[in-house]
Amino acid sequence: MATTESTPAVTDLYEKGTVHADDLSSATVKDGVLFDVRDLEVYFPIQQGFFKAMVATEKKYVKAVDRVSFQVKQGEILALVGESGCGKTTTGRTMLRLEDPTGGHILYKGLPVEKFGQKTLREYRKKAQIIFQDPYNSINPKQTIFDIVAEPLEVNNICSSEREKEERVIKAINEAGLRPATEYLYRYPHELSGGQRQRVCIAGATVLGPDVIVADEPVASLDVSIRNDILKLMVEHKEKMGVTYIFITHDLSLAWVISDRIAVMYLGRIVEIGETLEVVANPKHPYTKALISVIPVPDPVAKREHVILKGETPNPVDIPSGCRFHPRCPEAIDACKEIDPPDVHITGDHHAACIRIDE
Amino acid sequence: MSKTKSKAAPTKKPVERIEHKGLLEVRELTTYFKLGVGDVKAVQKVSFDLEPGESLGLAGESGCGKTTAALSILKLLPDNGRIVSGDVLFDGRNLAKRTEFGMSRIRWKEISIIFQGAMNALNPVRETGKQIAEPIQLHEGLSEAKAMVRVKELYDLVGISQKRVMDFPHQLSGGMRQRAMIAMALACNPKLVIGDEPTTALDVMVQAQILELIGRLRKELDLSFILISHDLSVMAETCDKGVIMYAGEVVESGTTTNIFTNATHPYTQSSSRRSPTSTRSARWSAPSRATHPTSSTRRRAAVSAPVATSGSPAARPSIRR
Repeated sequence: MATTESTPAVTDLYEKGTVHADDLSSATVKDGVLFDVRDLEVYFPIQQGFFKAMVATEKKYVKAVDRVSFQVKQGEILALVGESGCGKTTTGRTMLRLEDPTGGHILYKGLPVEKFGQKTLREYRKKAQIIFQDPYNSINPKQTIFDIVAEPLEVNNICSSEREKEERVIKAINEAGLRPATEYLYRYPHELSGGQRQRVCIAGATVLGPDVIVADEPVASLDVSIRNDILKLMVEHKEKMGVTYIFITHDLSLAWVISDRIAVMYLGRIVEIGETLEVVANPKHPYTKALISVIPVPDPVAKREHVILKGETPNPVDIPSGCRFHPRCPEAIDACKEIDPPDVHITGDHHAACIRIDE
Repeated sequence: MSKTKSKAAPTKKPVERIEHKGLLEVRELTTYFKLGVGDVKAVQKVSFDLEPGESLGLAGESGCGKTTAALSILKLLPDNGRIVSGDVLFDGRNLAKRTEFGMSRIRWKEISIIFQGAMNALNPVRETGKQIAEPIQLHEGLSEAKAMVRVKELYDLVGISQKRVMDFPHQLSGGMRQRAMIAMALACNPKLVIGDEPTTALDVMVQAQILELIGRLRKELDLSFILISHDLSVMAETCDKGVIMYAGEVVESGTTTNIFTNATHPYTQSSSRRSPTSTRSARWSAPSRATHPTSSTRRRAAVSAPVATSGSPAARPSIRR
């Protein structure tokens, strides 16, 4: 969404081949921008039978992420918000190279993540971690908590001695809010509650001391009363250790509580991005306005206008022409069917993609 | 249908109507679960009542007994659960004292329930339409073909295309599955529908759609509705009356307006404290469900001691610091 002209083209720099692991370790953050995502595209081909493939004139793709550009600053929490199927998870996964992009660039400290080779990726994964949505399925039920948290250290051969490993594991578990850590070390996941399991996942993600953590709906499967504690923990991590978080959620109210900046996604595109307070107080895109209007408010007297969008997100295979939001947009005009809206700069960091903003 | 049943058992006396408030009155309902270590007192002396056409919200944290209270109304408790005392008076009958057979004639015909996870509540290997037809066939004695005609009407009512009646649950999206569950709950024109967290697993936009649908149907069909939710703000937006439960007991009840303006219990206070004072700041209160006041481990302590205030209502919630 932001600047693309000023910096030199990425392809020139790394046309020759893969990025070396040494380049990664010597890379530094410039201007506070940790990630610079430019025109990212992630298309998934639709599996077709042999015969159909012969007959078909063109190959069809699920356009999960379709030309998305944004920056992530070091030490911030960026929230990716959108309905299910809008590509927010795919964006997060692609930034960690869990999916390969089909186009565009992801620059991590100025280095293109899509060109990382195997060795570089290993180094990179020490720096970039992920927390999954469901703590019931994302940790191995047959491992003890110690083994779960120690695994990244073992895989990367980081600790020279067992003692050091134990110390680091205990520190990570303590920092994740399971105190005293020694009580939890030799327990199994089934002995813990959902919130405690999610803390174990967070400990596993932070044990290597990463720069960035992609948190994919980390509190969606947790009880409301525990959500608060987990969110607080993430803010604490951010403030104490300077970890950058990319917080993926469908719930704008969660994003509002925790994030510094919000990017609202719709059907593979970022429709609005900016400082959280600014975006929530002054939403410009009709989709953001609708999302904000449907957040329930604990006040029976307040009668608010709900902008309830009809239907569901369209199929990402056949994306509507023009503005992809126009079939559901309450403010759509005829021009919306034809013009793919460019990014409009509003104030400061705030951008939105809608042709009717200036009206 | 009731006529044929009474012919089959001619010796049975006509049941006396019990006088009670409204359509449903729950009086001091107490439900325990038997566990190896002793009884879990899931619901203790819970009372509330519901007029015809009214909506009641049953709210509280998970584990506070709100679902158990609702399941006790329908007597759908698991084997180790039992209603220890109290009455569930529905339309002149005491459901708490009714036999399993007697209940089977009330379930779905007069009281139906929308379960929480639509994916788990629907049979994955049976067409959704046929599943919805099942209670119609059973209660109205219709053939499957005739019941399917009614199912198609129901699909129209809840806003799913009639073409989808023969779809399997996995072919429907989450929102559509929840709509199908609502269609199923309405299949036999019940008087009372219980919604057990009907929107919890859904996206915010779909949640808004479903809540709007429930509100519209309630008006059109003059239904009474019990909404079970952990989300006080959802309750505030959809219900006329509310009952707040905490650790198996009712801690607050009344009209929703009353609950939110004069909350007396610390749990309700802290949950609704961030209500906006001015209309402009309405959206600033929204994340109250995220910034839930008490963690489950500390909840006892939190209740005995009033929860500390966290700044002015318009301020951002305390999670930041």
